[in-house]
Amino acid sequence: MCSRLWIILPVALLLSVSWSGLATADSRCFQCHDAATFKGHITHSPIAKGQCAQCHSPHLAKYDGLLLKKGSQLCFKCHEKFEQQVMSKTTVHPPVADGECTLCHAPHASESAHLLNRSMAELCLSCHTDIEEQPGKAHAPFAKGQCTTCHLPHSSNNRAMLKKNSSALCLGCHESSPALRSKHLNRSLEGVDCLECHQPHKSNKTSLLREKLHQPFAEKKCQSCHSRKNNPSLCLECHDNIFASFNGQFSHRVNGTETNSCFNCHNPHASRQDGLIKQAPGDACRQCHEGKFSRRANSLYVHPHADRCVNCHQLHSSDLPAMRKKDNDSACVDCHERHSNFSHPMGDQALDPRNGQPMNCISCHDPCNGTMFKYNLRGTSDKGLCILCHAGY
Amino acid sequence: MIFHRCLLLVCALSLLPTLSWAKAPSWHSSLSFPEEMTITAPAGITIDFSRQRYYVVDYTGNQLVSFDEKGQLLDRFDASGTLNKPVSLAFASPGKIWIAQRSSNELLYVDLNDRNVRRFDLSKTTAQPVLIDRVVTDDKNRLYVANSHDGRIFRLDDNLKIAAVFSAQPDSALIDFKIKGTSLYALDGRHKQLLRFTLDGQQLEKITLDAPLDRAVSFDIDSHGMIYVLDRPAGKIVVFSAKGLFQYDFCRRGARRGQLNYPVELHFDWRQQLCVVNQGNDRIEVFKH
Repeated sequence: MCSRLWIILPVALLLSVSWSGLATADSRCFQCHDAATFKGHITHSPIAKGQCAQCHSPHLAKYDGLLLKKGSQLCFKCHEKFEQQVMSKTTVHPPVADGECTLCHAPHASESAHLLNRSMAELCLSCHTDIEEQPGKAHAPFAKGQCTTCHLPHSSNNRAMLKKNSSALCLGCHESSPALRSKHLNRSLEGVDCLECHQPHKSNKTSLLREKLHQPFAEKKCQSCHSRKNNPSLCLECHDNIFASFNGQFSHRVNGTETNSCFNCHNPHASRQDGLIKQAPGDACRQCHEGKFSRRANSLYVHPHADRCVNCHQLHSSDLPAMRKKDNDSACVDCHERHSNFSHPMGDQALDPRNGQPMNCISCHDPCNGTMFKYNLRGTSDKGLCILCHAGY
Repeated sequence: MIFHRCLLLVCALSLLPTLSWAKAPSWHSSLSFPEEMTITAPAGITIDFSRQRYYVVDYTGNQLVSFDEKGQLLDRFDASGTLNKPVSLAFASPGKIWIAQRSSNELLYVDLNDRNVRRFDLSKTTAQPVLIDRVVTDDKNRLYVANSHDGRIFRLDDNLKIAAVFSAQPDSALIDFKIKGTSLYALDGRHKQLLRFTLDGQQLEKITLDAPLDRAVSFDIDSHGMIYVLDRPAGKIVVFSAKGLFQYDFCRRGARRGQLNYPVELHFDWRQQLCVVNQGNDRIEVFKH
């Protein structure tokens, strides 16, 4: 009798759960939850079909909202192909990478296409606030809030999650006409990176040019450079004091055996950055120093604003390792003044037993690469760090 | 039957680590110098095979310092106080040396006997901007200079004019080079490949280094043709076959003896030991196996 009961009980329990799961569909859920709030211009298909249990558990669940799975794991249960498609690209939009689909999409219903929480423009600019703050005249797709004219929303193999790279994207709308070419010394526009000179969103300058212009370019004296051979001598003829700025022990190496190596980092026409640096601080450095950025991405604790390389590093050369602007201690003390009063002994009076060098901040911290430990420490703060030098601790 | 096959498979798998271990020699630090603070910032090293000495270029100390095979200090030379931030050294004809001096971006020709120093501005003799990085001489005492301002290498004639140019792809940077017999090998750090040229600059061979490298900054080739590449941020030495296939790597980043902290140069010495300018730790690390 007792053994029969052990068989019947689980079966009965299973049946009751299945029944209740089915029963939640539509009729039961909407007895309490106002059905009208789950409907919109666009309704998510499980809702439209009354299949609430596709996403929710009616009784208990590990996750908020009685969801069966967390974040995108739930969405990718059905949108499986989409997951493969999105995650295989080199750049994934951070909310997607973090599994936060609902940051942009409404799970039940929406008035906007693709179940977006808000209109596309409002949605994108709610995070990318800096774009809206730029002054000037707007690029037509941006003015109309059509971000996806140029960008892919989930992931892309191109920078800034663009649909295509270089001029291929721009020439899709701005046909390579003789008039357009005549503004570019009648050169072919194929493969040209239009974004080096033009703002894609807003600009105060004509033709949406970037804010900072090279003087000869601003004065339309194209031939002052374009009539001559393109090598570093071309730049150094005017910027003759720059060459000596490379005379440090740690001198920035350049690429380009047969091109103008100045253009590794600088744009000869226009830029948004001071010094006509090609891209935003950090992004320009990343073109060659990808390893550094990857290490940082894999670290749990990274120094704030670590991607703003110019805060700590010189651009051309320095006599300090890693082309730093200041020696380790004074660079850190600029911001961490208080910490210098109570830290481990440093300087010539406290030599690192491992290499005989004076102790400094980076003996214990690695702010540039980041580490797996709090405060960018090179070891655990209980004793993992200390035993690196104090073995008998 | 299935049992026997499984047994064979297990045996084969258990042998794998042994085989790979047999391939990778166990390199360890056999020498680390200087023991005292005789150099303050090593920028480069030149090895005198015939006299079996190490010559270290001390950037901040404004001196050249020689060490014997045991890493003991032999001598210091500062050209009567005229050296100012040297970065590289090469032997010219007997009793004479070339020094690349960064503070003034000049090439110095030093007569060690009468201590006479002659200065040359390569940007003038070559009629183009040259940022002198490494200097090397060949068997005929011809001078080769790496120009870190355009990633090319030049062979210079007696008037310090360009006699031969060594270059790769338009966006390459030849970051280090070594002369082996009648060939010049150059490391293209950007494209992670080793190029072999004639001493007149004609490219003969391109060896793609088949392993992820963060930032290859220096290399050398052993007597068997194996390529040793120094990865600066990783503090690793990565070994490739003569065809560029990855074999193994050794060493790690750190401050302890045998660990590398932003190393900058790699050379084999007369005993086929690997000498590394361990810049971040201000010393020279010598590895043997």
